[in-house]
Amino acid sequence: MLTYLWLIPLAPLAGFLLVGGLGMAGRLREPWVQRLAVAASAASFVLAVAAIVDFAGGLDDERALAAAQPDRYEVSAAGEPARFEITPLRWMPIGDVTLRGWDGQGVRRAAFGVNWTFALDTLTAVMLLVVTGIGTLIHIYSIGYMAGEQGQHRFFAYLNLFMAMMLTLVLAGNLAVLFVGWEGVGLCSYLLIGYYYRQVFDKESGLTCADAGRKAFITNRIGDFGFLLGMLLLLLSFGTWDFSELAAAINGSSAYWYGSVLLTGIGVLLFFGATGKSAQVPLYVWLPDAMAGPTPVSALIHAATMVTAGVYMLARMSALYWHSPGAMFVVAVVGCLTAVLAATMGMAQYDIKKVLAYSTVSQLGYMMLGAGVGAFVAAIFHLVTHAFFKACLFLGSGSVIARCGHTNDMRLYGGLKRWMPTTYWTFLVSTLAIAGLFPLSGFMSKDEILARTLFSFRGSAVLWLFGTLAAVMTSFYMFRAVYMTFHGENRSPDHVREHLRESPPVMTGVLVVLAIGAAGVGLLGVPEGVSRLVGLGNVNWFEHVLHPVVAARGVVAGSAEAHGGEHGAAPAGEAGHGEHAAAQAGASHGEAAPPGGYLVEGMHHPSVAAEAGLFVLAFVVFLTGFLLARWAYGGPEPRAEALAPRLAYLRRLLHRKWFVDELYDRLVIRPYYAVADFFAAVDQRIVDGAVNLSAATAELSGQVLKLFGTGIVRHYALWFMAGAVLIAWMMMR
Amino acid sequence: MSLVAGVVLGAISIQWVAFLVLAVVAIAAALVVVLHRSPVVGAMGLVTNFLCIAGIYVLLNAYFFAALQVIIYAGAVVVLITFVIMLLNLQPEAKGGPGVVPVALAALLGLALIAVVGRPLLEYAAPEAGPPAPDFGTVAQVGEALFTVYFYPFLAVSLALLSAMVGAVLLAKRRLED
Amino acid sequence: MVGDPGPYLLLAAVLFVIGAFGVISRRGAITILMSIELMLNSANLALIAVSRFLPGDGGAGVPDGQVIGFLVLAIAAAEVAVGLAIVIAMFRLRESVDVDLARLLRW
Repeated sequence: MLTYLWLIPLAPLAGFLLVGGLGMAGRLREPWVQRLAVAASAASFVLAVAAIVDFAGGLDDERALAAAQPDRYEVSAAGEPARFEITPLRWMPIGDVTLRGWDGQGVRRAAFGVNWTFALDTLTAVMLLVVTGIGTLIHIYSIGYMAGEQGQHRFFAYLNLFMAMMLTLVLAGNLAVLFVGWEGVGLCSYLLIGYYYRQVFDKESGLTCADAGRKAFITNRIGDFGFLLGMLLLLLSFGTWDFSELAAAINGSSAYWYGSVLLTGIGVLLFFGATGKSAQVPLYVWLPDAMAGPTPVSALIHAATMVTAGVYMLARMSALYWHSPGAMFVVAVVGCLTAVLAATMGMAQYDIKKVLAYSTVSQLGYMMLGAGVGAFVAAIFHLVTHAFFKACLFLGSGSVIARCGHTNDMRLYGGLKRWMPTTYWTFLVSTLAIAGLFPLSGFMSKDEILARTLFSFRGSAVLWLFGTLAAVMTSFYMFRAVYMTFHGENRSPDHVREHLRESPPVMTGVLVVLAIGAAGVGLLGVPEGVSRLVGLGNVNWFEHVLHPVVAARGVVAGSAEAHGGEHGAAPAGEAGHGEHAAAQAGASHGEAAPPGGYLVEGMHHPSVAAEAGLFVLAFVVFLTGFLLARWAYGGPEPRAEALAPRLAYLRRLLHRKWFVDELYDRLVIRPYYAVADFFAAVDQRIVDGAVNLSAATAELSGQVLKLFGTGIVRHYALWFMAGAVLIAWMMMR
Repeated sequence: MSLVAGVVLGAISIQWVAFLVLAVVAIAAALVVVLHRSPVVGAMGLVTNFLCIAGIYVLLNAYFFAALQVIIYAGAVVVLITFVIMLLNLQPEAKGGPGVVPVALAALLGLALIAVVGRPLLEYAAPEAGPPAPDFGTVAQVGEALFTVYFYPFLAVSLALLSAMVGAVLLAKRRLED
Repeated sequence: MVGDPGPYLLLAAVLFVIGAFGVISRRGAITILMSIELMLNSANLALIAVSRFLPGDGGAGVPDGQVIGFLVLAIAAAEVAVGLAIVIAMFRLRESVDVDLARLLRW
């Protein structure tokens, strides 16, 4: 099956063409639109599963194939983490490029071409399952959610196109293909946010959904500018965009690259692209407005998959980031800042989707924090668990919204538990998961990130402290949403209340599946510390599978001694050992960083007491948020309303999102418009003026010359004769 | 030998006297054509001018061409012009010509042209040419050149004449049909 | 015997200028045609004069000038024919031969 890897993104693309084309032609009735779209998505899921099963069964067959057709197939070497690449199409045979010699090997020409390469390794496999699995579930859910809407073919076609692009992104074997997917999902995001393009979604500012889509698109363009610069710098430095070749080039001369300013610059530029796509500070502002799109879109694109592309990209480029502590530090700080800031904003929203949107931004911040402190596996794990519980939360909110007269305002909900038990229970399970109750998935991933932040060589206690603070707020705002939506008295208008009922099974079924996932998927990656506490040893299957792909490889010169202790001259980059080696080396050096620097990924070895303390602390954090929310919103008369006047200022600050939109308006948008106005004036006055001047000159000379065209033939004869005399004079002179 | 010198030195032959008389009459006749307001008088001036020039051709030993000049110009062309004048019953041109400025400019340009062309003529002393070849100006000589060296221009001109004839017929006839 | 073409050419120049002056200063189409005939004649005069005094076979004089003059003659006849036809057409249209009235080329 592996040789048909390229069919995975092609299946939803075919769905897009069929649904979109036939739908536009009016040849496809509604049920068939839905069936085709779901089938296309499910097909890619089946193909992905088949490919991964094949992949897991070993790559021996493929290795023989690669030997026979080296142009088409490539398989990683025996000692490397398993990786299979297929190049179904040549793409851009660009020819020679001049490398600037920034890699210390001199200025030289190198052949460069971009091919349409798809690659599969365990990281991609995880992403494939998340995208196709959750994507298919959300396709199914959409059948119920979109029931009765006009022109569904547009919606389903875009969803399929999104699937195709997201799969291209995660399957990409080089940066160019990744960028195609990167831009493609951005396009679909734009199209789907503006799906109800005429509808006003923000009554305060009068913005339409189309405006929200535009905001998302433009904000992402800003990030993509940085991303593209990073790509071009990579090209000029290494002469390749192929992930495996890049990793090999960097790991191959680890000592040269470690701490390189160039790599730090590239890393920060690529991360800037990720701040746009993954809604980090400073470019997160588009995501809350992206809630203008239909709720399944919010669940699929703006929670589960597309926005995590930045995290995936960081993990994919982990070789680069491992060699640039500076870039990783930036990632960690930005992630932590985002987590805290978005959590504060989420506490004061009344729009249920905005609460979830800020929650998403905050959770993405956690993922970035994890990537920034070197816990790539934990970051990806959080990506997976988040995909489950946040998709479930969004779809649950969609279920509520659809039944409550299409309003997002939580002040018009209340007591919905009575009418919508399935939605309530699934929503509650997901809330418990995101808030970090012990056996549920959120605890496993989020608290693993926090523990790593505290113990990793690249982490710090300050980042951990803020991360924990954000966790309290997470618990608070989620339970606030639960209380406002499902508990207490119903505040809906009467005509809505009369029709309140549970959503159809096609929606609740998906909710149940996702809730089970949100509860159970965490068991795939029980953190080592936790499992050791309960005496199980390391049962972290997820880490076992994923770690080799994102592990730090290569080593700085001189750090061999740091590893030396027990392993002797063991190859330093060997995955899985690095952590132990570094931990032991760290221990032998009195918890100091190993002399080789931080390239060796590793943690301070936490004591059992510290791990137990963190475990308890996680529960306390969860409980604090829960009790606060219960105290403020749980009672029959919410105390929050009573408190409101005293906290009016703070509430306003948070509700208006720290006035960040206003700040951007003043700092960026207005100056930008001013500059644009200036250049418009230059264009209209000077550039157009020059053109108009030449036109005016021509016209004026014409006006003068036309005086000679009197229409009287004898005058022409006069000029003719004058000319003749002149020529005669010149000849006779 | 320049003109002035010839007069002063008294080397005035009968040809000289004839040339001078013919030249003066030709210029006077030309001025009548250009200046007189009546087209009929102008046509008479034109025929006088043509005849004088025919006389000068005789002085130049171009007897055949002199004959052509009389037959075609003084005969055919002027008769045609006179015929048209009569046909249209043209009256003398009304007063109030084209204005002083163009006329003055034209006169000035004319003088300038004479000056430009005439100055080298006065300064240039051509070598005295001998008597003409015995067959100069005969029909035989001109005819031979016309049908050998100048055959193709001759053909072209005959075509031009043909097309002019057709054109003239068409132009003049179209209005008659109305 | 006049021995060089100078006086003839000078006469031709004077006649040419008079003709040109007539073309520019007169409004009657017939007069303008006659002035053009004057100019063509002066050109012929120059041609014949030069052909008479150029050295040729067995004495002065070559036939070329006369041949070209002959061609000019033919063209002049054609020109008069067409010109007069135009004059007639114009007269039928406007009841006048004043060329200043025909100014459709004006801007």
